[in-house]
Amino acid sequence: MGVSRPDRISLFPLDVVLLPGAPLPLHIFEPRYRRMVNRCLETQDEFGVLLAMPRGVVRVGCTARIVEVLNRHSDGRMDILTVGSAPFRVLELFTVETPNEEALVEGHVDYLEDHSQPADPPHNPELVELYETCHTIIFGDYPKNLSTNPSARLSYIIAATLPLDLLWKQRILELRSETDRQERLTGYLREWAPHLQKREKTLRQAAGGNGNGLN
Amino acid sequence: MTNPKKSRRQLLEEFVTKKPDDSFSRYGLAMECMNTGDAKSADEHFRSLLQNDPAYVPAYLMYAQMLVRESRQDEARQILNSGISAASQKGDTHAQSELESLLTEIS
Repeated sequence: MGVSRPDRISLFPLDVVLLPGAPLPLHIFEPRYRRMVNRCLETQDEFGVLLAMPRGVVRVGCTARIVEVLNRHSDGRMDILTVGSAPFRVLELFTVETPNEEALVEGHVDYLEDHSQPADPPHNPELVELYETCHTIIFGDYPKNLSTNPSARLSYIIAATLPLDLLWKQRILELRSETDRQERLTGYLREWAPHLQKREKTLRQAAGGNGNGLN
Repeated sequence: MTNPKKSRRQLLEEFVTKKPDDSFSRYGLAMECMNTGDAKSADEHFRSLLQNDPAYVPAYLMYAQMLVRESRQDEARQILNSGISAASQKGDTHAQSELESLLTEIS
């Protein structure tokens, strides 16, 4: 990663798969998470976002960097804008108790880097084609984020933009080569795309929320 | 940037013109026409899609359902039979059983 990152970070389980480079607006209302966010703002640390599962959390997540505090409500609630930063694997979970508050979870984590071979492979043309058409069907417009974000990974942009199944997004986050991610995502889209217009209302409603969850 | 916003159908038509062999774009256009009540254009796009790419299994069921709604049962049966062989060649048992059950329903 080039920068040294802490081995132990606060964890925020959400109904979201955060991907590197993807924006994630959050409304923070629970006191324990307000405290976590305030501490991250002071220390400029990132916190870890993990997909919450019916029984526990997944082990691979992505850190969220706070880009901006959009709004501080008088009662302490906050609206913040974060962006996905570094994928990590949780090696060990810790529960941090504070009197009169629900416990925070922290994790001892290992940051996950992509395998070096080819770090930035050419865009898979079938994937781009599927993405353009899916995006047009769902949002009624061409995707603009491919040209405005040349440095971001294609697979992450696409997986973050389309309202795909969260477990598929999680699989994309867990793969450690861009070539593999693009190939896997192409397979997912091939399977997913023909169903889009069958349940178009539901999907467009989901798309309106940008697929992002709130705590 | 200030171009008037194109409709979803116009955008899909552009894809199909630019990439005539992209089956999913043509399927998307056929579905859009069907969902917006233009059965005639949907019919043309489904037909040309299945002519160019008979292995594009998802199109058979959607096309057949539309034909059934239009009371064109004979054509629907034909499409369903072609779809069943296409699905079976691909080993797509889920699609095959969906096509078979619609065929039973209208026979």
